[in-house]
Amino acid sequence: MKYNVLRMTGSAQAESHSPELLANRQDSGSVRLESAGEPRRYGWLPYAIISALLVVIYYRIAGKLIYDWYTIPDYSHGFLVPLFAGYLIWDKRESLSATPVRPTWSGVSLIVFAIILLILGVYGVELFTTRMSFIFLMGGLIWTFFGGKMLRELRFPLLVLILAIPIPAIIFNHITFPLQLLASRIASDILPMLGVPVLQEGNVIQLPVMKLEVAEACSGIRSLMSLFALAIFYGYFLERTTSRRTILALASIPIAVAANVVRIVGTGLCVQYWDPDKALGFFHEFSGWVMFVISLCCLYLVHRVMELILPATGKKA
Amino acid sequence: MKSPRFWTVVLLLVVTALILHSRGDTDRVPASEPLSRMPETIGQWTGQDLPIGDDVLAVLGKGDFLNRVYTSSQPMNVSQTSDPVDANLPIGLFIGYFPTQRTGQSIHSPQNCLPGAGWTFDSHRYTTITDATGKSFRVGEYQISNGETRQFVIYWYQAHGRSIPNEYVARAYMVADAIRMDRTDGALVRVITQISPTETVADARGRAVRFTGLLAPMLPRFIPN
Repeated sequence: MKYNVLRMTGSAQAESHSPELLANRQDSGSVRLESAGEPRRYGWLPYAIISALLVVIYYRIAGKLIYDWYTIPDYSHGFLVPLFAGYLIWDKRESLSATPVRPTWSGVSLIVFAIILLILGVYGVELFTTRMSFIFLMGGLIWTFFGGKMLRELRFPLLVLILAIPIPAIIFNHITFPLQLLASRIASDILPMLGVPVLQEGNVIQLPVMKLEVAEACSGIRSLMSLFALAIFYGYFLERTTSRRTILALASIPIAVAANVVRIVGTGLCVQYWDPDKALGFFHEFSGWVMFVISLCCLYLVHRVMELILPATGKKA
Repeated sequence: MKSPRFWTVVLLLVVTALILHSRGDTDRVPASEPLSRMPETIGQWTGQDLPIGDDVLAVLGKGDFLNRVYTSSQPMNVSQTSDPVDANLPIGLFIGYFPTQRTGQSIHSPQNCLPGAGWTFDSHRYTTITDATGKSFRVGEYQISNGETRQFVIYWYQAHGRSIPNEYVARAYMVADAIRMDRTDGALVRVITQISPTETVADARGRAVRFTGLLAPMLPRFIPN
């Protein structure tokens, strides 16, 4: 039971480690108060050792992940996810400190599983597995040193971290690609009504004066993942029940399609009635933050409509 | 600091770190010729390169790409039923070779790109083709259409001397080969030919299969076994 009363320094950890270890710190802090009678001089040492080992194991993987957040537009929300997870833990600090700490050997099984996943992932060059292993490993460490109850308390912040991990393209494309086609089809149904004749072939939309390739013909709806993550954050802060939060999260899918329709229609109108060259700039600009603002507004609208149809009954904590 | 649990975990992590660091983070990339040296003439067909746009290259990622149209110099008719009018329809060959897929990019599947360009898959099946040297290999055969236009497509993933039509299976082999041989190179080969309104699907298929049979033995020079 010695390490229960230890404090964590947290100095050597990599960025993505912080939310979980933060929990450890808070928890152990509170436990320390209870047993403040006995002074422990090197209490921080075990935490430092484990943190250092995690850094040695994961620094390359974390580096590549952060690089991906930076470079892949679908995953720029990755930077927010650890902060959100950290907030979730901070928000739970009272129930966490009330949770009894019961170290157990059972947690080691999860650690071993995570390590196997990690080694296979690194050797097999499967980035997704490699990154997922970190979440399992954190779960295993919490389980081993703080007990199953603590792991259960911390499962949501841990699961939230999955949002920061890019889904393998081979699977992601299968989800987003049909949605992209759907958006193109709806947009090319709407455009003729607004006086813009179009010929649509898949993601390629032929306008009277130019061809609009819904550019990444192979990459589907880019912002879906960010929007999904954002809908989860939004739901967490503004709703109180899991079912209503789930509805909001799922609403991100039709919203992503709708936003894409707006983007294509908007560009089509620009080409027809304004300036094709400027329209292209608009098209690309639109794929960025403007799209996101539109999506957010849609999310807000969906939420308002939800309030109207299903008013929240009795605030549940 | 005396807890056996703590030291067990530390030991596990140290061993993990050692295992991970015992292996570098670069692939073994076997030497291969650039795809541009693919023979201009394959059987009775003569090729002509088609340029690939910069935006397409950006989507494809880091690799070596060949996009060629081969046209036949002599009329050919494999069908007994129709007249040899459209006998020298061109054959499109696309090869995308990726020396390494370590950075997370994976080979693009035509399952996404073709519908993206407006094509619908009318039928598809996996089958086995025998090449000119008698070696058999697995491919996917597809009939696609876009309005009135129909095409016959043969495609497969080629890596380390193995041909696999299914993208998930190909991916699984890539992971296995990365573990076993430290190699993640691989390629997508796509042969495409038009099905003219006056010929049967079997004619178009015959043309594509014959071309593929001649092409396949040349591949190891460019896509190492």
